[in-house]
Amino acid sequence: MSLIIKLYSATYKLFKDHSRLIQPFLLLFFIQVATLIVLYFAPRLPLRKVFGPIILTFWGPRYGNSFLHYPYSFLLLPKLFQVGSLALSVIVGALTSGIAIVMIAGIHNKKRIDLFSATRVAISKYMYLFIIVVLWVVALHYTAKFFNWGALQASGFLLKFLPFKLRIFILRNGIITWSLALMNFILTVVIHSLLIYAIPVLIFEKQKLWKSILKSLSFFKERWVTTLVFVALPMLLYVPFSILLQKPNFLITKFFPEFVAYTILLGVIVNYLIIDPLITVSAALFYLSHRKEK
Amino acid sequence: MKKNSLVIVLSLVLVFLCGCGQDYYLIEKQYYRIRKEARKIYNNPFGSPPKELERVVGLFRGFVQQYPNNNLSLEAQFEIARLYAVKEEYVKAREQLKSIIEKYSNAKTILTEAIFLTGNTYQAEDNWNAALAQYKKIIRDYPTTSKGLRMPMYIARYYEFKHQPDKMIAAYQEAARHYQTLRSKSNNPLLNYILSGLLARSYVQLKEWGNALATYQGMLDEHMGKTRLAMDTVLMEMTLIYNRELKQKDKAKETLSLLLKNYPASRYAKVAQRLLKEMSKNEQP
Repeated sequence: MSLIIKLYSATYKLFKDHSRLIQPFLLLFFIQVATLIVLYFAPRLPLRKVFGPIILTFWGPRYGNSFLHYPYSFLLLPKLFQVGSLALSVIVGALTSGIAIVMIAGIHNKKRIDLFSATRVAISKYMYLFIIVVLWVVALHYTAKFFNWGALQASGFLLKFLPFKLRIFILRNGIITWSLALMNFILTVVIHSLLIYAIPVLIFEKQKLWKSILKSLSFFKERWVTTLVFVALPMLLYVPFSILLQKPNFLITKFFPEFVAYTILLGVIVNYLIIDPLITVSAALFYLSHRKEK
Repeated sequence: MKKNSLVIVLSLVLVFLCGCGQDYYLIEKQYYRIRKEARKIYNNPFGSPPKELERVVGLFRGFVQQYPNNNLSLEAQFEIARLYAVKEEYVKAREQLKSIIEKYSNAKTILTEAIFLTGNTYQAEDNWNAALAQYKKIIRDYPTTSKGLRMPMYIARYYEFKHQPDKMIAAYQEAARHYQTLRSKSNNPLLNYILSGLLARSYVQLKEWGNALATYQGMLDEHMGKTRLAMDTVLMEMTLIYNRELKQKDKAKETLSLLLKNYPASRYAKVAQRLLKEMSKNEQP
């Protein structure tokens, strides 16, 4: 645990001493906020003209045009933002992560690298960065799908053998839903951890794509406990948002419709200004310190 | 220079977004907020002070004045009547409904809803005769509207709820006659389908199983495989009559097989399969 605390404090010190390191993360954060603003206004004119047909194409057959009306639009907002945010995380997030790692490499080599020169370097490796992030997203999507399906089948089968009272207790208290949420969290942490060193290897070692991925996997294999812990701890911060945004109806009725948007915004702040910088930079520092050991 | 252009671009974006202030979405937002106020009264009709009622009614009236041609304006007018009704101010509720009836004299759906609510206020006052007069008015003047079609069954169910079996049977008989008459006059296939369904249900309530089955069979002959209307509900209803009421297991199995064959993706498919299995099990010595 002391290793994790040391790692986090080293990350904090790095941000404190080199404040420009936050710039790539700020860039992604502002783009995410801009996306949220656009999606917030999507059901209203003039954006409705663009987003209306898209929403109707995907959700119209089942829900009609409800999602274009107040307050029902807020039921869809988390889903819309999730899709938009994921696309941005792949397209822009790959670049900003690369920029951040290039900046760390510059700091490590005692060279002064500003945002623009770091961006130039990251752009030259953008294809590789993009593929790494796509791989991560695809791996997460399909493993989650497979595990969720398997877990649901298994729970359905096992429930039959449980006493009636216990079965009712499990179903009433949503224990299966909670277990699935926990399983998804663990899966996210594991898949994220598997590929977390790929970008640092790509930038620091100037390796090719597949070698970077393989090296990331072998580095994770050697230090999987530390990696899993320093990735999981910040991610726990996002869990409340994840749970709340699963039930936008609850937020609308308990508070007010716009509360959904505020929750997403707070989630974006936590995710892109705390979790993302902490994990990305910690992973890079951890990798660098290990390389030093070698 | 850069900063100035950024400010200009941002201002333009804000003007672009806020300039559409009077769009439908904002009207809905305003209406939602008033409804939220109204919900407090609905949730606690007797605990909320009369001033609160007048305040919320005032908000609704203001909304109606501000957006007289909006769909929500009509909804707001109904909300006023419902608020008065829930506070047991039935005379005021009826006055409001009367104003809706006068205002929308050409819109059948709105009229029937307003008349029905007027009947409801009398019913809440325990004045069944006055309520019945309103409901019969809907049956007489607007028989083929959604409310008009359901009204005869509504009346019969009232007697059922009040444990008045003689009146209930008479009401179901009257309903069956009414649906039959309407069906004989109608040339609209969809309306005929709805009327047949209601007629069959009236027979079921009267325990006239033969008539109910004949009506359902008529629906099958007319629609199954010929129109896009799904007959799975009809087949399920027939199964239940054969199985539970007439104890004709073979016939029940026949209709279930027909259901599964013609509507394999039906919401009744699983139940039908289970029922078939159970019937086969029970048949084994």
